[in-house]
Amino acid sequence: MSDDLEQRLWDFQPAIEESIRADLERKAYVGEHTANVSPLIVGTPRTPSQRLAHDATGFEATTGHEVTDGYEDAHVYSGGGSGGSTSRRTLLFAAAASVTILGGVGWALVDRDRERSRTTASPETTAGTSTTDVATDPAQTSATPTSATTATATTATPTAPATDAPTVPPTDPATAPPTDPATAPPTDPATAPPSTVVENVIAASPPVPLTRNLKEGSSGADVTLLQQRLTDLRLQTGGTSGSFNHLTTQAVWAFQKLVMQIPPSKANGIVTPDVWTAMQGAVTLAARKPSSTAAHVEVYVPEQVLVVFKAGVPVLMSHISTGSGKSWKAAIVLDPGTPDNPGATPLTQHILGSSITPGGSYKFVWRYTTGDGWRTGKLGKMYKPMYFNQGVAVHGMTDVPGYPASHGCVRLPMGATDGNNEPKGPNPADMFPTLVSNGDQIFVFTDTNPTAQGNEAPPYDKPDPAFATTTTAAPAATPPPATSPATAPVTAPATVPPAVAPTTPAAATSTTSVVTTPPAT
Amino acid sequence: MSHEAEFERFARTEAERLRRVLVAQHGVDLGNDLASDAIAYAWEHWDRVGGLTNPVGYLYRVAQTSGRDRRRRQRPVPFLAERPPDVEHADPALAQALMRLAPVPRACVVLVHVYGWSYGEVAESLNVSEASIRNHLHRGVRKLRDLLENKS
Repeated sequence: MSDDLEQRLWDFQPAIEESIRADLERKAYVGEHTANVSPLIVGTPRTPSQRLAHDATGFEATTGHEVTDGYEDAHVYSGGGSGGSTSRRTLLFAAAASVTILGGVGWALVDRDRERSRTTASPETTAGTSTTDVATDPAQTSATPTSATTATATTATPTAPATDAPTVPPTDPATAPPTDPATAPPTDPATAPPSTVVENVIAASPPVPLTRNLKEGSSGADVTLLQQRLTDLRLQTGGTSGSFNHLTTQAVWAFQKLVMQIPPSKANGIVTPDVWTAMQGAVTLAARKPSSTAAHVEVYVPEQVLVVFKAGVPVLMSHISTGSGKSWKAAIVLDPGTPDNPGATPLTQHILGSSITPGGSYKFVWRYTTGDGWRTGKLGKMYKPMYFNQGVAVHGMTDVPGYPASHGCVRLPMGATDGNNEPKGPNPADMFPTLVSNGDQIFVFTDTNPTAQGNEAPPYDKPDPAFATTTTAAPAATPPPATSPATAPVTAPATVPPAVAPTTPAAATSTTSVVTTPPAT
Repeated sequence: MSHEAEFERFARTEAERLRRVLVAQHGVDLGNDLASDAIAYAWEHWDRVGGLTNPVGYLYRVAQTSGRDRRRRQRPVPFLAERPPDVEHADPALAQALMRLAPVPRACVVLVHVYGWSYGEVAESLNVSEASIRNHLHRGVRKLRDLLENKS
């Protein structure tokens, strides 16, 4: 066997472990919800052995600057120890943790085996005792071996420090009227440049009948006309090439969803004569909320559309994809010098979160638009992210499906990309950072009724309590003591088994009824 | 050792080995399902399973039976489980090539070369002789290399 292939297989282990974990989590959540699981788990304090098992979870704490789809929230950690956490989040967190407990031990076993056969294996993988090096792949760790994790002073109580929320107080509950379908009579020609458009009304274009349905793949002069009109409507189509590309589809989605008020699941991206007529009429895009900053962004989560306003005038509208609502767990490394990690070394954290885009008023605080704009991580890539709510950003993505799919971020389409993943034409993802600056306000509406929209506290990512913060750039870190953490809760490990064992099959299969009770002894 | 403690020990050790075996053989998606089913089965029948000397080998057999039923209904699946579209798998070519091996050779290749298990351990888990493990492994690796080289 060639060394190449051997090495390749060897390096494949973290991917498999990660996939096993993700698959278990996914299956645990699909179709099952809080009702079944919560009485069992919520409020149960985590015990030392749970922590230990969890420590061994097959996370790969690589040294890259990992960010999940935008979530790089770290504030949770330092927050106060008590209160604040909603039961929902506690539940999600607890469920996710329980799923991986056994997987973690499996990892330890596996690692021990690897160690036995490879002398280069990482130290301290004494399964079953106290700590295991978390997924430090000997074959991969080159520059900075991940320091072994010590389950130290982390409190077992997940916290949700609502007081840390960078929310901006609502400026004014009185809001502008929501956007309306085109009702104004056609007046001016569409040749008017955007700068002449005052107020919120985008003038109608001269009526040109459409003789066929246009959809992705169509091409011709009518498509050029369509793309021109969409561009006038502040929707980006990657240019007016006359070829109906995916970006044009996404633009039509946005129009259908926001202006025609078609439910997102029904927006099909097909331009029928009816849709075309609606497009040619004057369109009002009014801000729902007055802003104190020159430019501001409004994200309409129910419609899955975003609009950028400058002094109340719409300048960019786009289809978006926001949080999928699923829960996730990730090992992330926080870049030094970012808002969440003011230190000088990268910070590793394991966090649990929900893929929810919280509603509220925020300001853009941090952006990454240098270089080629791609912020790359093992768990996701983001193009030109602009952060406004902890780890939640508005960012470009090649894949922006017609349903909420992100980890909580607001994905903007970027159209076709070249071999270097660079966008090819004008697109929302590139345009957005040019229109919005740090400090500008962003309103995230999660309710269709703007007056009902409050400033929802963002659902914070929970740091994995079984996991202490580690500094990845500290190879000199001493190996963890081979004993249980001194600060562990009072529960003795011996009391764990009934709680631990039953949850795994329950979480991993649909046969929950089989295992919800300990066996009669 | 109490009943529960025994099962817990099993779930933390052998059951996880079983999971790796089944994943190695069937891919993550189906392997996880089969392992979870098998662990649930072990829980139900712990009186009997708990007394076995090689519960992994036994449960592996149990899982094969239900695996046959499932596979009949299923199209071939990727080795690694489905992920959100914004997440990339490591080495997709390898994952794909692995799925083109027959199940048992695949299990041998993955357990030995990915997880670093000894032939003896693999043989015990799969309930076959060490010699045939060697055989499967040899062929599996050769086929895998062919698949990968012809592709690239």
